[in-house]
Amino acid sequence: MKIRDCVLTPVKTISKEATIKEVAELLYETGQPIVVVDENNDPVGIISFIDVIKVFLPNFLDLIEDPDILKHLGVIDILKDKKTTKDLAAKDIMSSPVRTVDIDDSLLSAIAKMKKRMQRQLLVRDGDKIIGLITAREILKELIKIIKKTIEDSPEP
Amino acid sequence: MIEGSHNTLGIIVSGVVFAITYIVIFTEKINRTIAAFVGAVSMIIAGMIFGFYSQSAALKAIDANTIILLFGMMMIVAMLKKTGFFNYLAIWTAKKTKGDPWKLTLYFGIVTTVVSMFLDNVTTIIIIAPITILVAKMLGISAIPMLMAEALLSDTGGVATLVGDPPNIMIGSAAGYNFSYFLIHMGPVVFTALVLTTISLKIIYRKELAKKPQNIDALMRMDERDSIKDLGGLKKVLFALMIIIVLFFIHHHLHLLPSFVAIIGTAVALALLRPNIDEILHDVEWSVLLFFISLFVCVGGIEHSGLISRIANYIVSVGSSNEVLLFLLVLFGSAIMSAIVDNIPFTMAMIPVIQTLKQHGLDVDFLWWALALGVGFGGNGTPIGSTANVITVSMSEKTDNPITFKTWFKSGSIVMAITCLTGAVFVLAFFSFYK
Repeated sequence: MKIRDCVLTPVKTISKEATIKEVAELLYETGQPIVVVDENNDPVGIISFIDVIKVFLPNFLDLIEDPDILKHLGVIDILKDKKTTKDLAAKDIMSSPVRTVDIDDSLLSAIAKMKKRMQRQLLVRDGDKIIGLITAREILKELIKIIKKTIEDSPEP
Repeated sequence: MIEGSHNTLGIIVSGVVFAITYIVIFTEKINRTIAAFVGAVSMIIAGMIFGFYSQSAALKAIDANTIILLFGMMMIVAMLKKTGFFNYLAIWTAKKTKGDPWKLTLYFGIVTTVVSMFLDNVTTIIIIAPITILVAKMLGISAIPMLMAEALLSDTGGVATLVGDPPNIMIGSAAGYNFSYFLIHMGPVVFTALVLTTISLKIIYRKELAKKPQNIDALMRMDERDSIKDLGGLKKVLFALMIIIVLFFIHHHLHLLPSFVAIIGTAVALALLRPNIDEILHDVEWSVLLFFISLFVCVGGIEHSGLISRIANYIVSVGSSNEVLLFLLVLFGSAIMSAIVDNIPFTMAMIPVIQTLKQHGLDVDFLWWALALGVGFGGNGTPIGSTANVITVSMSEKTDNPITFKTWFKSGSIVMAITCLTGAVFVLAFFSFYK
């Protein structure tokens, strides 16, 4: 089975000059895990929910081994300074280069990549063009089909 | 090898292998453990070819007392860490200050110092520094005075005890000092150095410490009890740690080696806690242990070839008549060396030199103290002077206000000068006590 055989989620793109607010709103409204940052129809980076969070919360959060110590604190208590976040655009928070999988790759290799990178989605490329996203949801759909088939095929004891 | 049978070729070859190994370690181009390991194996091979070293001699060169003591204390720290003890301690301490920047600096400094007198200060700093940064962020104050206090005071405080930092473990083991003897000799001078360090931090950071903290309410909302993961386990490990500390004070009366004390405590903790052993072993810093073993083998090579005794002869010929000069030379020489390079390999190389001086009939007690004070206090001088410093700096890089070389020199180098001078004046003033 290949990625080509799955239904892909269309990707949303945003200009690299878009503000953080526009990025956050697009992510929220589409409900998608990532948006692609685009420059003259060329994908130059992606922005995920975590990238947006990183803009507002300080980096040292990664150092805190036990999140339980934050139980009684609010986001507001450790919000980054306004001046450091105000003028940021999509291009400042995106991660690049864009990592993609080919539409003719097998589904198994896509699953393995997701597992290895701890990602729930992969960008799919057909030649030079990004044509969509394969997400955990599509993979689960295929897995359900396979599980069903194995159960039906196995002889009754 | 029998004294007098040293051949010049062996001395030269061992010296070359040793020099290359140490240069590679100090330049940090290759991981230090790999460099030391390859160096150790090369030393044995060279020794077998040129007849100055053997496999069995290399095995004997490894000081098992040091390795086992380090291992035991790493196991205890690994078990203690999992209970949430260090987080508890950090939050509890922070709340006691009610957000006052000076008190935060002082209390965090004291806590890391006391803990690092008995436990590894690297682990302490890895856990306490992020909480320090968090608290400073909430209060809108600079984290730098507090982070510097944690690093500088724990480096300084660690000098006080036989187990406070790795060089002391090696020195104590080589000199045959017991825990109490070490503490009686180093305690007073280290305490004086700590007080002076604290005063200088207060003066150096007066501007940062004068800033009024905001949002104290958020700090007080934090609950240290949230961090405790296993209260029963915590009590068990603390009980084992208490046994270790008590036994440290009396181990010489019971004819127990310090390493065996650590192992007894480890066994008690393991028996009471019965943790997942693989998880605990995973937290043991094997690379540090392998680094020590490799260095012992490497230094053993230059000892057996006769290079060390050549150096010792030279020292005897120039300095044995003037003990004060020799003392100052070792103290400040060690301090400068440990500010620039890793103090573990440096101490490792100095130990056989002092041991050989002793064989020449020199009274060397004061040199052991000079070495301990020099390598311990010298580490304060630069951001790379100790592992705790390196970690503090790298953690501060995740804040808006990272500690740079310049920031470090502003307080660290002053503290290094003050502590080293304190050590020199103190020992010279009571020279007969340290001899």
